[in-house]
Amino acid sequence: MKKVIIDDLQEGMISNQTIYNERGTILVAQGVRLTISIIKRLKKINIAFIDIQDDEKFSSCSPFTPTAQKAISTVKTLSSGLFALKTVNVRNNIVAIEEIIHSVLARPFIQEFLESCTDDERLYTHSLRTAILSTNMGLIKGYDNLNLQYLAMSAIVHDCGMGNKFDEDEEHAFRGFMKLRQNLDVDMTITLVCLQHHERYNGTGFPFSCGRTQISEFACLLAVVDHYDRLLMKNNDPRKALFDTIGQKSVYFDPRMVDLFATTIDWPRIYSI
Amino acid sequence: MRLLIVDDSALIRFHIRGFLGELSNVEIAEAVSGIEALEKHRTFKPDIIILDYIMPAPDGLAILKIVTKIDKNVKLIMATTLGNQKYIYKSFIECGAFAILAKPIIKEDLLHAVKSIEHCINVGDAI
Repeated sequence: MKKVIIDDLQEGMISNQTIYNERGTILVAQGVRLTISIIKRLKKINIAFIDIQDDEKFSSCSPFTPTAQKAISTVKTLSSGLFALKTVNVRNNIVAIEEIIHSVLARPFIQEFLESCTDDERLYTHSLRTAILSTNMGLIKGYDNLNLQYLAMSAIVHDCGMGNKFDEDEEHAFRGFMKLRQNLDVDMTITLVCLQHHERYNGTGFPFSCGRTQISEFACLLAVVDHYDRLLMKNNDPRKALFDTIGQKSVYFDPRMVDLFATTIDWPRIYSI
Repeated sequence: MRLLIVDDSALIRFHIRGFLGELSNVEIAEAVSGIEALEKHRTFKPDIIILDYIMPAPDGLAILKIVTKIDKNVKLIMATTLGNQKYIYKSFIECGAFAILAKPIIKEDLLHAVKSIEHCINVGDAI
């Protein structure tokens, strides 16, 4: 790794750090090959220098491992299942959602997590279904491809603190955060979502009772779909789960994220037979 | 000593860095957001964090809560413009802040706070 002054950056160099703007949005991810437009963007925001990899450390593994293959087919099945529920519409974005999720399945920590929970159907499907739902919301919100990938990765591993079995234990958020934090290949954006996905807008969540401005945007978004999917997992009526979720606007959840979730609802089909 | 400056304003980071210029043996890093602050805390391993309170989520109070929980050694100095709001000061102290500085930050106050932390670290090392 070497520090390179912004004026000396060249196309093709690989960033060894994630660069954020002041809103916490990712501008350049660790492991990304720099392009002319990225370098121009970095100059525009007055970055002085960045860490560059000496060699290609992030040579991605094949996305078509058995774990990835299984995840790909599960995503298709879950998408069809969501369509059958007639509550949330992911159909319009399904191609883009699948592409985003497929693109992150090559990451070793994603594969490692999915492999660890293959024996627990609930945790496995919850992870992938929240990835589908949150990526759908991210697409509607207009996130760029990079941030959509980080959102999908956050959703997949958000319950990694549970170990290999779905569990309602309140310690799992902090446990997952500490686990992911030890892996320097996992960006802090993802790690923080794991920590904060049970924090609540009114400050009644856990582990730190953070509220409003203390919760990251991705965690606010994921909290909504996580709640909705947990209700579905408890065999609630899909419509009841939906109304319960949007009923927590400005109480448990950031109102902007509930409004965003509401735009994904398939209103015309909700009452169709 | 390693020192991390966290503020979403480049101008304020620049000023703080300037104020700290006269200290010797200080390595300084900067973060522009709460998320980057956590990332730099993980990789840069600072002894001191000068942390702005009002930032896009997660704000300084959230970072204070998280960092003090996972790292008992780091000392945090909170910087805030909310001069008269006593409950904010109370929250900072309850969550483990070492000191609170009102914005605009006065150079002498900042240096006093940093030097007192340095003293604490040295005393701790001696013990």
